[in-house]
Amino acid sequence: MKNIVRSLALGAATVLAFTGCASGQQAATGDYPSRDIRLVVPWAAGGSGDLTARSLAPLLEADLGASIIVENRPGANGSVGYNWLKDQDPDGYSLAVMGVEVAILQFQNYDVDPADFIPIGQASSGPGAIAVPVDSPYLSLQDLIDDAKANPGDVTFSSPGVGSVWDSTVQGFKELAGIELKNVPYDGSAPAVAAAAAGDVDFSTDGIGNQKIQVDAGKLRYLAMLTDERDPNNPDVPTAKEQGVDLQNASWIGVMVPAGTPDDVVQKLSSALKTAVTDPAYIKIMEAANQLPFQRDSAEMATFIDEEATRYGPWIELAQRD
Amino acid sequence: MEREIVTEHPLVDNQTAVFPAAPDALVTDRSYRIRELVPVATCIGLGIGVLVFAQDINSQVGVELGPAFWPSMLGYSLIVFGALLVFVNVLRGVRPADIPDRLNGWGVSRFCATAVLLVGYVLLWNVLQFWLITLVVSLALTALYGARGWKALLAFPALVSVILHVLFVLVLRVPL
Amino acid sequence: MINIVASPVTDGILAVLQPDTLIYIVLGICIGMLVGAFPGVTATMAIALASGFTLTLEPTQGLAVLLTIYVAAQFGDRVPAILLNTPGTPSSISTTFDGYPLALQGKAGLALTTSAFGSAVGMIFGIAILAIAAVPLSAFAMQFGPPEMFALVVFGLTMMVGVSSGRIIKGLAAGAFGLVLSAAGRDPITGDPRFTFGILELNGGIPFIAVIIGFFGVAEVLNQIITRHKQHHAKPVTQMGQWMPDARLLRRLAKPMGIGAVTGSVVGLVPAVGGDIAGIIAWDNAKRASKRKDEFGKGSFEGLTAGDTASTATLGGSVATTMALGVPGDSVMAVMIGSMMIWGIQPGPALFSTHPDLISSLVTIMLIATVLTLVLSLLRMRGMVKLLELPSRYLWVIILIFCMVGTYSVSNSIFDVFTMMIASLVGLFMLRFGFPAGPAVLGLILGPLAESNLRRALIIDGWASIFTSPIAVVLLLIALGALILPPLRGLVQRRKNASKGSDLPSMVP
Repeated sequence: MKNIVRSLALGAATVLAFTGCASGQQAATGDYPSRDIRLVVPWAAGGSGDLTARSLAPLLEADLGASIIVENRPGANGSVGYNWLKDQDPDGYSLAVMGVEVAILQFQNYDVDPADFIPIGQASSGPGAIAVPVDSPYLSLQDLIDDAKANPGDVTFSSPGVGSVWDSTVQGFKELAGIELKNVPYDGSAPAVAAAAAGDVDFSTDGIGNQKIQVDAGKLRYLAMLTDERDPNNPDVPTAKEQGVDLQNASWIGVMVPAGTPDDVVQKLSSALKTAVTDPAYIKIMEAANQLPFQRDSAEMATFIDEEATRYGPWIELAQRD
Repeated sequence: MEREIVTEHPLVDNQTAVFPAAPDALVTDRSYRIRELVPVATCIGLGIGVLVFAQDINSQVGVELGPAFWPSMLGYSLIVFGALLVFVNVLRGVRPADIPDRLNGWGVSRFCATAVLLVGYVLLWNVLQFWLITLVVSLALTALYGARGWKALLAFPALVSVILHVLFVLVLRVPL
Repeated sequence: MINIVASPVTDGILAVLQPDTLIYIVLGICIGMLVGAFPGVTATMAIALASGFTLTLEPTQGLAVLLTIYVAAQFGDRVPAILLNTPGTPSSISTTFDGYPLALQGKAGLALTTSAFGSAVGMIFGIAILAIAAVPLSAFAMQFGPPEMFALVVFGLTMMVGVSSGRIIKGLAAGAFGLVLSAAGRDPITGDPRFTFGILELNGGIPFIAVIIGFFGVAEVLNQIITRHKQHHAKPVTQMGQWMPDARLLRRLAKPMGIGAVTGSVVGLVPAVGGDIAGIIAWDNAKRASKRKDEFGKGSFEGLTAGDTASTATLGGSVATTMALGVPGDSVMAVMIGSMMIWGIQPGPALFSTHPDLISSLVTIMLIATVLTLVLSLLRMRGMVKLLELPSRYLWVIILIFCMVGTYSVSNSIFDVFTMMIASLVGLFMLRFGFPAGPAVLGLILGPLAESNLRRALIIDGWASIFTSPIAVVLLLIALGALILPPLRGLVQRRKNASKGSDLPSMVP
């Protein structure tokens, strides 16, 4: 018995000594980063945000020379994770993945202010599309608009949730086209797209990549791309702009740190992120997951987030008055 | 408060089969039936609370069955169930199987100490080393529950903290 | 013709029967059983972590690791449910109904073995469905729009009566309480905050794994803490009794296993509904069909196997739905979809034509995993049951501390831990005042599904959308029958007894 206890105690001591040594060695190398960096994902495991973080982590590790630990802190539309980041020391050792919610939760009674954070950069983009069931009578965006004008409020669409990127996008569509539509919010993109594929609703607005599954299976048909130019993978599908509705929107994923982080740290992280996002391995993973690798640096991202907030604000107010 | 009601009334020992003939026979002692007013009050109180807070839910969005419909429906159901409990348990009696084991003074103080220790444990997670605080708390709990001797008070807490540290901190990389 | 069909099938099987793939399967089993046995550590979490490492593997090997974790966790989580009354994952909620009473009666060994056999039978049944009928069945699942989902969930909610162990009104009240808890958070349709009291975390709703751990495991420990005397010596579980079920018991268990397998397969096909609900529904179905109804909830092997068979049988259906529809059947499959897309496998209706060999690979992996896990669980049972021989003071410490750390690890949130602690106090109150915990958990899990699907259906086409759907109407009628028939039958029975001259139960002094 004594032997067992002694070996247990020895084992415990070894484990603890080992972890202690490891962090001590890193500290000796000096400059940032000198210890493990935490990258928080404000959503549950699974899904494109989590995937982006886990694919970026090894590439950032290689560039920065420090371990990156990916943690999920899900809850309340990402605001739990964002608020956690806000309270961390601004020393560059706590990072979080962000989505467009960072810019728009403030319009939905959440205590999330983009000014509390400094963006590091953008990692990916997921442009949207409007898709209809494959046997839908709508052959063009104009058919949809005409039907909605003839029967105001009878045309239904599925969205991945109230106040989500794609729900807000449709508010913009309603405004631009001057029509009334009925929102059926689902719990996430997969069920929302599947509902359109099953014909429960008249159309779906979601990421091109999220709809691709059902389009490939012959259940959905793209009606319009919400992009500037035609999608290279779907050259036959016209953009909404071509069809008279100047609407573009994309979901995106980026990385940020708490406000107050020193500028040299931000720049170092920003260039590391740039290297990671342009890495062929990352591009391959993103393309396989139907996401578009997309790079913006820290300064460009800050301007972009401001633009997003100005753009979404009125849309969300419109949805709340609905 | 509610719990003390149990201690005040001497409890018939379940094992000594006071009601041998019919296992479904209801216990009709007044003390047990009065004790059943606690669930009644809880149900009705909770129902009213839900209804009051459901008033605060207001939405500008006009949809059929708005956000307050579902909670209000549940609030009314809770009140109805509370009222029904009066007829079922207070007026008729309690099944012997539903009478809990008696609590005792030492048990209640042990419970309070456990609660304090565990709340302190959670609050110290991100302050002290996880394995250290786990060691201390499991040692304190083991001692509180009456274990004596170095094996119980040192080896066991050490084992618990090592397993938890290895599994959660090293393998699963949980930020503790 | 046969050749065309056979070649991708054999390709798929051979892809799995490589030595290195088999090593990954064994690795997955070890991880799965371990995480299953720890309350709070879910298969979802283990798979999310493992997917970070499996991305670099070949798709077959990667799927072997992920799927075996998924399969093995279903066996591991039964152990704490039976021995400690704490479900290792939500799938084993129904295991606690009969498993824990059996352990208290000194039949822990037999309970663990029959539970493992039931789980294996359910798993194989579900896999068979995946192998034979994945495409047509998932087409059926596609018929489940909001009205049908609402009707199905209402049917699930009627199980509250069944799991109330005779205390129907208190059971319904507990169920309503569970539904109230599930209403906290953002309204699913309009996004307005409800019962959030300005607490940020509550915007996301009440974390249900934390509540389950509090209601079942920790509440039970707290009750023992306040009732046991200082000098109390827990009666040591000396007689383990039999280990292997004998032929008579096995024959008796055939019916509940069949009920469980069918219930689980059907429930598994429906997206977003998983093993937790299937287990509870099957437990209730088996109770109705059983000749020994009164044993249910007090230590019935029939109830134990029915629930366990059903909750594992959902895996086959869940994988089928995920692969064939591209809609995750549960949270584990949501994580798995992400990994598969990186391997260039796009789940969705097109999968079966683009990767015909994949289905046979999946089936082979899951079958091997099931058989190996069954063998491993049977071998390991004796050691596990030793846990019960520990004096209760050690068990209390283990359960309390492991439940707290486990709850935290679900989403790295202190808020979840405090929720669990409050839930354990509520659970203690419910335990002492005779409110069953089963209906409350049922309400908590099914509440959001019921409300959001009802309101979605109303937005799409008003009340008509529910009453014009044949599936929804049939399900609602079954639900109504489940509510009305048992009390009616009871009434008839009592009349009959009264006319025979025996007294009403309440008349006995």
